[in-house]
This record gives sequence, structure tokens and C-alpha cells, in this order.
Amino acid sequence: MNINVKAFVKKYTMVIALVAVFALFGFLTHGRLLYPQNMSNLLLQNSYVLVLACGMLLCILTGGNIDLSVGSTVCLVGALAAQLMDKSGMNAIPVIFLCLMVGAIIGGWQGFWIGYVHIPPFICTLSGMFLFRGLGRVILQSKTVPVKNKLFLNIFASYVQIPGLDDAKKWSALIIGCAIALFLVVSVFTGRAKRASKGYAVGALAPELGKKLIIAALVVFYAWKLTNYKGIPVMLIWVLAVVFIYSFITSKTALGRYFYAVGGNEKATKLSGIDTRKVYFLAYLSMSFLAGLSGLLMAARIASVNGDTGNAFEMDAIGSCFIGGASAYGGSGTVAGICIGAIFLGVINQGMSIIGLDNNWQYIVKGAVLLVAVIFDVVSNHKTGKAG
Amino acid sequence: MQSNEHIEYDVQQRARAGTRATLRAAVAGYLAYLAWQIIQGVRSGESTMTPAVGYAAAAFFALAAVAFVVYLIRRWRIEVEAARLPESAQTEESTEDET
Repeated sequence: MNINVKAFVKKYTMVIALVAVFALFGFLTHGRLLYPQNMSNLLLQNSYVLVLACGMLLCILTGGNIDLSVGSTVCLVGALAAQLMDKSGMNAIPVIFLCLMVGAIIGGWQGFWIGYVHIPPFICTLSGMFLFRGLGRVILQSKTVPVKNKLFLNIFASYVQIPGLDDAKKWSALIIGCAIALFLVVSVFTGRAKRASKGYAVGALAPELGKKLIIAALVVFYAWKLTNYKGIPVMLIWVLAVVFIYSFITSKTALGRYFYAVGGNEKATKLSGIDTRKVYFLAYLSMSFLAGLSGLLMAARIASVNGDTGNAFEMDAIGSCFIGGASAYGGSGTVAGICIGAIFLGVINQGMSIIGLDNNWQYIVKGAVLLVAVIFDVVSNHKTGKAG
Repeated sequence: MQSNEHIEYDVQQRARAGTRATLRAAVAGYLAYLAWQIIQGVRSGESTMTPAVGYAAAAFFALAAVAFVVYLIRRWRIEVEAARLPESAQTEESTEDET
């Protein structure tokens, strides 16, 4: 029984830590963290971290590589979008496509130097960090540019509004939440039946069902909070789309396995006939594309862009990956782990903002959290010994 | 007599060691960045934090960053050494005809 508890705690350390932090800040804020507005803002304020962390995961999977230029790409793309809509009066839709294309071009540019010319990623992305930040400031002419285009703000920063359903309370949020919860529970039984019909071993029902029931309950709880505020933010849809797509790619596609393969043994992967240069190229292309998307999300969320937009975003994304278990798993994390790491940091940020701590105290708390993750990393390596 | 000693490693283990080292270096960099931001905040006078506490916290994080860098270098060396294949395995691998 003791061994099961230990194994359970080890497997779900981050989830337990997330629950503990939630409870702590719920207590410190006298329950204000759980107010519908704050629960909704929890996602909105951390949407960029979730999106960037998904892209950063692919870079990390290719062998511990990181992209230091994402914050600057966020600034550049946000600046471009703001100026095109504000100064040139362009329509939001072509601006969005153009900006996403710019993000992809930046990623392609860096991916080319890293994948095909074999420039070390650290050097290439470090130079990108300065280059794109500088370009962003040039585009902004060192000013803060507002984002007022209604269509653009509706596409990224509005809330789902179904006439007749969301007129008073936002019932669509609860209905969709309950539907997702039901799907999660039903999927347990359908998955088991499918595995059994193919002759695979099927484990005990209770743990699998228990896990899905807890997730379903949390989904319904969050949906209820959204119902009592402004409903489902459109930003949530964007974030979930990115998370699900990347989760699918990394776990269900051959392309996703290529990233793990390159990170594990590049030579063997090459000898297997996989173009490893293309894998690196795609990792950085997708990272900068997502940074471009984050730039648009930030521009819509804050409704303005300035030269400091995106500062230290890469640090938040890397921190999420590290806290989410990337080090514990030896660098081969999962999208779920990354999301938990991002939400963990997000709860701390949100809690501190509600308490009213100024920036310096927030840096201290963030640093303390990182130090705890560092100590955990050191202690667990000390216990496991050389192999790690 | 061999003039150049060729050492073989378990490629996956060595790759994992490199990945961990890179992540740890990034986190050490983040700690150093936080230390810098705290100092900037104290100097600008915008923070409610007393300068003594601010500088002490910044120094602590900076020291933690340096200590973690030292740790990650030592750990990387240990993990790379652990990834080294025993001589018998190296002899077998060198005589295999790989396509």
C-alpha cells in the first residue's frame, strides 16, 4: 500500500503541487481567487504561456534546444498588427494572416540556420532576440500603439455569445462544459471496450474512471465559473485548439515521434531515413508561428503594443517546461505536463496580483518556486544516482 | 599502441544528459534575470520593498544561479561518464558491420 502511495505521489507530483498552490492562494486571497472573474482572467492572462510552452516543447524535444527569441517575435508581430490596423487602416483578417505568415517566416529563417547550416540554436535565437526586438521597436517608432479594431478584438478577446442562450447568464459555457465532462467519462468505457475487442490487456476500471471523473468535475466547475462571468472567452478556444493539436501531433503522429527520436538519438534517426534537418526546421518554424499567434493574442488582450511587449516570455515558457516535469523526465516532457507547469505559474501570478504584491515581491515568489523545482531536481538526481 | 583513444557512448543517455544540462542552464539564467529585475525595481524606487531586502533577495538568487550552474556542469560530467560504454561493448560495436 505504501509503495502505491509513493508511486502515486511521484507520478502526480505536479498535479498535487498545483492543487496545493491553488488551495494556498485561495486561502491567502480569502477565496477571491475562485471568483468567476478571476478564474476567467487566470486563463486570459496566461494564454500566451500555454501557447508558447507548446512550441517550446518541440524545441526541447529535439535535444534540449530552446528558442530565446519568442518574446521578441511576440513584440514584432504585435507591433506589425497594431501599426497595420491603426496607421494603414487595413482590415483585421488580412492583418492576422500576414502576421501569422511573418511569424512563420521568422521561424523558417531561424530553422534554416539551425537545421541546415547547423548554427547552434542558442546563438541563432539569441541574435534573433535582439534583432526582432529592435525591429519591433522600429515599427512602433518607440511608442505605444493602441489596438482598436473591433473585428480583431472580437476574433481574439471577446466572449462566446449565443443569442437566446447567453442573454442573462452564459449558459452555453455550462452546457459545453457538461458535454465535455460527459465525453471524458464515456471515453473511458469506449476506450476500454475498443482495447478489449482488439485483445489488449485492460487494467482496473476504478483508477482510470476515477481520474477522468476528477478531470470532468474540474471542467464542470470551471465552466460554472465562466457561466457566472462573461462566458467562454474566445481566447480559451484558441489556446485549447493549440494544446489539442500539439498534443495530438506529439502523441499520435509519426511526425511527433520524429521529434522525440531526434532528441533521443539523432544519428540513429538519420540512419533510419528521417531527415533530421527538416525536423529541426519544423520545430523552430512552429515555435515562431506560435509566437506570432501569441503576439496577436497579447495585442488583443491588452489592446495595445509597446517596445516592452513580450519581455521575458521565453523565460516563462521555459520555466513552465522545467516545472512541468521536463527535467524530471530527462527532457522528454508532454503537452499535459507543460500545461500543468504553465497553469501552476499562472495561479501564482494571479494570486499575487489579487493580494496586491508589487512586482519585486512577485519576482521573489517566482524565484522561490523555481528554486523549489531546482531543489527537487537536485534531490531526485541524488537519490537515483548516475543514471538519473 | 593507440595514439587516439576513441570512446563510445550510449547516444540516448548522452543526449538526455545534454538536454537536462541545457534546461538547467536556462533556469539558472532565469534566476539571474529575476535577480537583475529585483535590483532594477529597487533602484527605480517603484517597489514597496526596502532596499536591504531587495538587494539581499537579488544576491540570494544570483548566488543560487551560480551554484546551479556549477551543479549542472558537475552533473553533466557525471551523466556523460555514466553514458560511457564499457570497453567490451565498445570492442563489439567497433567490429560490427553497420549499414
